[in-house]
Amino acid sequence: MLSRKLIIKYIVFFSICFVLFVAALFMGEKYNLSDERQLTIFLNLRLSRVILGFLAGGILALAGLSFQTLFQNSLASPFTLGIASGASLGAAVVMKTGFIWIIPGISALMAGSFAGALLSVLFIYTIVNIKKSDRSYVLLLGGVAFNFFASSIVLFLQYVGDLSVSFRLARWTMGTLDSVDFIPVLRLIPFFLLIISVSLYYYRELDILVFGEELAAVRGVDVKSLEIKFFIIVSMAVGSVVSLCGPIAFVGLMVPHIVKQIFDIKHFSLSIACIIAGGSFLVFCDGLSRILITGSQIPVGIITSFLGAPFFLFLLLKK
Amino acid sequence: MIEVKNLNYLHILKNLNFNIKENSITGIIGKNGSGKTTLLRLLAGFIKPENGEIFLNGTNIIEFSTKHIARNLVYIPQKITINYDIKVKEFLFFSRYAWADSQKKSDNLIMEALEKVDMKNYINSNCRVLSGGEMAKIMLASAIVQQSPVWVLDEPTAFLDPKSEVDFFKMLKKSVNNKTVIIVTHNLFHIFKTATHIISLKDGEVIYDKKTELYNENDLLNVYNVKFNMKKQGDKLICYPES
Repeated sequence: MLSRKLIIKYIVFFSICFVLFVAALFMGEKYNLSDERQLTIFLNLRLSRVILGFLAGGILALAGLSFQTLFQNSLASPFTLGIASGASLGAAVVMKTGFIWIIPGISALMAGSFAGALLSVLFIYTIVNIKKSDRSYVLLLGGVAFNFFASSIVLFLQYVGDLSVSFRLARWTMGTLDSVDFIPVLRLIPFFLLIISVSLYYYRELDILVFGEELAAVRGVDVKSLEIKFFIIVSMAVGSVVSLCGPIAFVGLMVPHIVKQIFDIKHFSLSIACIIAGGSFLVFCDGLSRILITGSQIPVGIITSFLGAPFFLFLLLKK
Repeated sequence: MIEVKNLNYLHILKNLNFNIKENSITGIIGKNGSGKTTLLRLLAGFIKPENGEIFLNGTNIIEFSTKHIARNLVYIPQKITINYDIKVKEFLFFSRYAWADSQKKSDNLIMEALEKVDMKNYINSNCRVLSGGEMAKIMLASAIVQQSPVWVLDEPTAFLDPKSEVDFFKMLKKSVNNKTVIIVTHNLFHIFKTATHIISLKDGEVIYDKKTELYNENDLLNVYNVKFNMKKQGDKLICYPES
């Protein structure tokens, strides 16, 4: 039975998320929805963008939550573990080489991001397994090192690229939710459903893992196989977000922490709360990006990082 | 029940061979660094032997899945740190992970286990606020709930005060009917009172593997390089280091 306090908590939390989501729909340029032409523009430009932001934010937050639990490290996220940077590197290589792909549903950029994300996961997983002690510490530092490595190559590609490629890369690495139709949304939906299904399916294992890898193994959780499953699925989902929106920082780190402050550590409800909070937060940041400078749209990655970096420091100091 | 054959691990354990009988309580003693914890971690399946084999009821444990090991063997660590709020009954429910059974059955098992360790009133308490001694009893309850026939305990009383330690060993004796128990400890007083067999490790090798009552002062001197006094009290041996 849910206690009265918990019910109120749920209602307040979901109401705030809902308000952020709806507010974001109407932030920025105003559309007259009774006009058919403007309604079409609103649906294709604004609604598709807001849905894309919601799916991307949800994926990133859920990815952060599962990594924080799997590695029992509150600083773990797709960004700090280098997966987002790996995906960026893959996508940057595709942009620079102009590689074209013909499989429907998956763009060349997406394939590049997947490859980059999987490469980073492979790198981090190998490092952690070589150096068996201080797992959490090695994982984070390995991720940070890979982050720098991947970023240096992305910068190099930007430096040697022609003006249009360099501009596209620079703009893309800031993270943006620009979309003009529902195709990016349709591309992201399968990965969104995949990461949710896996997180909800394994909620019990994650609940036990919170109390340490050893305790989970004693209770019968196959931690290694769980890690591999999550690594592959999360990196694919994060790769798809990065290929469509660029590397949007900090959503994956800060949203799970906020949600964990509010709710008990039960991964079924935490996962749902993370999707809703991550989605609404990113959509709201994107709304802010449309109204902060009149006539211009700031890449949303700038806003999430601007809000996320101080929070990251707060966490470090609190730890 | 458990058969260890030519077991080696890095330079820590050297060619160990011993058997542990069903329904026995085996103490593993030895100085720090003698390989006790590594041996327990191998028995629990956390690490794989470099060479050699560990058989559980005739099957090599590397052939078991993690769930299968959990149904057969439960490991109680030295200390468990609880960083998040969780109720005792929720924590104990984790012990049913390896078994697919109904919530009702799990609830009954949890209640029975808490009764056995005198912690019935704590069923809805937050594990985070429990003392070291109370948490040690909850870990015992978790082993009961897991219903595994083999219990492996790694210095379970290392961080407990004397009263909690006495309570723990009392509860342990009460709870281990029809269980095979392997326990690593430095507390010779309690282990000589509790164990049926004691295996002594020195520099990664088994130097003694015999019934508790067959140990003498020279054996302990050889294991620890400290002189112990031993005397009989009823059918049990009491031992304490010479000051």
